[in-house]
Amino acid sequence: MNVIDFHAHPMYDFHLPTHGVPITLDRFRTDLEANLISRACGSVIYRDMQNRPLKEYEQIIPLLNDQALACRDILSNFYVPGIHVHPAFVELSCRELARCHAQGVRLIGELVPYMMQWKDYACPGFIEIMEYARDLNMVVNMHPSTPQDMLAFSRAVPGLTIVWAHLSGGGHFEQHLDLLRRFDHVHFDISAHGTDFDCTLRRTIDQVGHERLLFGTDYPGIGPACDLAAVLFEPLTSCEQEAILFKNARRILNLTD
Amino acid sequence: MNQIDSFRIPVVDIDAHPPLCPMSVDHIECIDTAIFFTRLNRAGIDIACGSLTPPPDFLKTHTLEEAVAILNRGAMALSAADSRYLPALRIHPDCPDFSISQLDEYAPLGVRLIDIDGCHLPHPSMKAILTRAQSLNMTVSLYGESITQAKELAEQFPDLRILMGGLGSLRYMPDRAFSLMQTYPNLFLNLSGTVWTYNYALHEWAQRFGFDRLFFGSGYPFCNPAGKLAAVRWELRDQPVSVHERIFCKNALGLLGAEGRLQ
Repeated sequence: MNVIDFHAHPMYDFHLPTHGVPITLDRFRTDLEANLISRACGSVIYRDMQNRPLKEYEQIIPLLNDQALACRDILSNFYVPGIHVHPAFVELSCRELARCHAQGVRLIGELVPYMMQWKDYACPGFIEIMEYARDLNMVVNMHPSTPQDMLAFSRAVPGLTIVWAHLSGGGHFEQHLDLLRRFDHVHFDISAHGTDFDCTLRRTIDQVGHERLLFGTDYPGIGPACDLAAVLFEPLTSCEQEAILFKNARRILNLTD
Repeated sequence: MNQIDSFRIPVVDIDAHPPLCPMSVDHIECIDTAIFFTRLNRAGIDIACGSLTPPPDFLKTHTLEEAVAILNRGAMALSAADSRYLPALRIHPDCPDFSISQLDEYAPLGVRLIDIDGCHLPHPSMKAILTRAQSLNMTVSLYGESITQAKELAEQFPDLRILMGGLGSLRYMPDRAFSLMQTYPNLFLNLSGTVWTYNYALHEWAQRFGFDRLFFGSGYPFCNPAGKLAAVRWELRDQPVSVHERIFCKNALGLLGAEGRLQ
């Protein structure tokens, strides 16, 4: 099985002070491959890029995107880069979308507003950027915000392929399920919290089907083994398992084998 | 995947909570003890230890004393009927005398573990309950506690064995837990906390600290047991089989006085 990890972060170093192990790109790949993951998607994040003065993100956003592209150069097919945008810099963000799209990038995020001095997705600047992303047929993966903001943003950009991160995170399982019920263009990745409780996936699929759930680990923030074991433990058909573990990601990102 | 998977080490889950009756757990809506053990076995867990999970609204339909008594009696009955289960007791600080009488009744029958909610620890009557638990040589298993509460408890009751970190509570990072354990030999660590799925934390800290006071727990049915087991196995992937035996089995059976359970 060639599992696709829709939610991972190369260059992540947030827990380095706790455990002292640098997650090099080599380790990034080796650890994930040891857990049957053949492809990892996601944005570059690390300690030094967070909570900087707002104006600095005008420089940081292109830098992070360049780093994602550089990671792809090194990791090749293993890594699907996700890029950053910022609603305080609409023109720059749209330029970044165009620049990276021209280099084959199809994924935005995981976006992490809480690290980058912004908060709500349902704001005019971000909606403008995402309308452009929709025109480019890009996919956006976003850290969840409040249920109200998630609802407002999901409604604001119909037709955009939205993947909210962390199904059931923050104790908001029912609200997340409600979003999936209301909007066909809304998806969730299951990283970090989607399998905290036994049968969360079964309950979700029973209500909204299996085509909008994507496997993710949030590695290296979270260990790479638990989510896969938890998915395999859920009472799912092999068709449902395969959809979550790789087919849905392959479909929305237009990935070939 | 993890080569340790191929070693068949019996797995004792020190933090698993069978239902008192069907319909016990909101998360999974309908579960009975047969389903409970079937799911645990499917996850690779052989023995479960923990107090029983009451049905929803149980405390609305019973007095505290009734609730504590029914849960503890149920745990003993299940233990007698099913060799895959080791009982743990419930107490409640709002009925301290009755809680103490439960310890007095069940400790001589071999019950070693008491589950305690961290939010109950500040209650004035907890001192009497914990004093009796200490004198009966029992272990308290905490869930939802803060690191400060664990520290204060370890100081106040130096001869009481205290198992921290139950029910997957994400309250403190492993480096803090290990530092505390180096100071207080009566502190033990339940690995069910979701913090342990943080990559490389257990992998690095356990090597420096040692493995004799670490215990596998899943927090089932509140947490996914297969995910927890895989997470801990992954973190211990570079350790020899003897370490896996300790964390997944021998430490728990020793603490609970149940070394003969797997023979």
